[in-house]
Amino acid sequence: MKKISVRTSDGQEFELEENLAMESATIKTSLDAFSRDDIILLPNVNSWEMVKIIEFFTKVQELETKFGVKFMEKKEGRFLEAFQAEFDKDLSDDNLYCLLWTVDYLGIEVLLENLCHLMAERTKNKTVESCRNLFGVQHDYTPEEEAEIREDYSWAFEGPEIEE
Amino acid sequence: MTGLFGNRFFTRILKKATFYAIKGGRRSPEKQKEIRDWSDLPPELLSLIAERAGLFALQSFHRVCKAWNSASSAALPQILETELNQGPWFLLYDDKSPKCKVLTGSGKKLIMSRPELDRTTCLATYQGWLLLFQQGCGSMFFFHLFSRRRIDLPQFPDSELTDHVAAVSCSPTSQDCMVCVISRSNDAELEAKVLYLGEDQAWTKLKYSRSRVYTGTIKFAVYHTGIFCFFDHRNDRILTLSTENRAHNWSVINLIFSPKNQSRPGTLLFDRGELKKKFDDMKKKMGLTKGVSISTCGTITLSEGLPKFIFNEIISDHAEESKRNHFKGVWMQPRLKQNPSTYKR
Repeated sequence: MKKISVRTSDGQEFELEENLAMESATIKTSLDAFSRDDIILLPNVNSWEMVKIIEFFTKVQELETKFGVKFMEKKEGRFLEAFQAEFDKDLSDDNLYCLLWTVDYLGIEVLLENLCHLMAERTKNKTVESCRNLFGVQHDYTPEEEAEIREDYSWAFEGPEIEE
Repeated sequence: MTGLFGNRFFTRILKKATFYAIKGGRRSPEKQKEIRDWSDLPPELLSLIAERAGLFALQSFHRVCKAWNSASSAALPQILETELNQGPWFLLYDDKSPKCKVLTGSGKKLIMSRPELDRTTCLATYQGWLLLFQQGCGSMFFFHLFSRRRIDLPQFPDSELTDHVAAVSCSPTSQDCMVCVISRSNDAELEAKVLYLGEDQAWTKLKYSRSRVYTGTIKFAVYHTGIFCFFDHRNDRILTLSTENRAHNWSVINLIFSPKNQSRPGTLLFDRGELKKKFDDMKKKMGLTKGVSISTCGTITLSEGLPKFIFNEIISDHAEESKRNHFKGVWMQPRLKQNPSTYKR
């Protein structure tokens, strides 16, 4: 299996197996044009992020071997429930934020799905205020604007029990 | 050594890279609070997240800030698609509390305050609409569970329910809506009461007295292309009432059963014990600990691409207290319109 070399923004070099490197649409595009012997520069990827991404791929391969299902091919994000619980523990909100940007940039669909799911889980059952505090979002609605949109989705459901 | 920055690749990689590079300086995890701005995430990403958060999170999500609000709207069609295609929902209510519980197809539990359901029995559903009969005053009306809209019907001829079963042809908001309620008036006779919502001021009574031909007990009713169909506990034949041009002809149709894996065009699935199968599980999810009895109103849903009829049932724990703890259950297959503004009160 051919190895592809990449260099992150902080100068660290990593070797990825070719089939995994190709999961990144961005890397794949550059590989299609250039020789695979060259090192690919990734100025927008930090080394800790690269470590996380490799960790993800390793875990997927483990599970694929264990369950005999080609998860990557199916592009099914949500099967990795057990894995997500693990991935979620040591990923702070800020790290998740950075990782989302990076994975979006690299175009790794499967991982992006998982991260979006992680992020969505963190917003569940939170009140509007808690969401803002948790993610440090600027409140850009005037009281009048907010009153207007308050009723917007009440047509769907009223009062699912929300935790603070 | 060649790098990434060839002219050819400007639009594909460098442009995107430049976009991210501008943000790049803010992305260091060491600099924490002051750089974090989730509303800055690309809109497509925010929409993806909104989609995964689902319908229930939408209520909070859309109010956080303007960027999240747009993302919510953009994600809405997909969210609805996902949430509503996961099997029928189950509504549970009783006379002791104005709060009712709904278990969605995807397993989420909602608690809503619906005093309008007090002392009512649901005879049929159409998407989010319930056809309700109120004990005591004998009034019949349509009630939309989510928008709480109410459409009153002319006074129903029977003041009490016995073995009444009903079906609705389409949304009660349409002028073409027809309702048919059938019950056994005596040992020899079945009686159907039909109402054309857009036209009639009163119910039309139609008797079926050829009970030697059809002696079954009606357990479920459904409407299909001009015909009301009534299913009995035996299932091998169905009684039909055609409404075309108000001709009101009765007929009996024989059903053919085929093994489950050999479905052909026009196949329907029946489930006479949907709740029975899931009874213990349902009780747990709904937080029912004591002995209970539940009478349910069935519905039509889709299962693996085929129409499936969930029949009316009466289930009980057979404990002494079950009779006292009686609940009403309603299977529903809601479809919420894409344009929510029509549901604003």
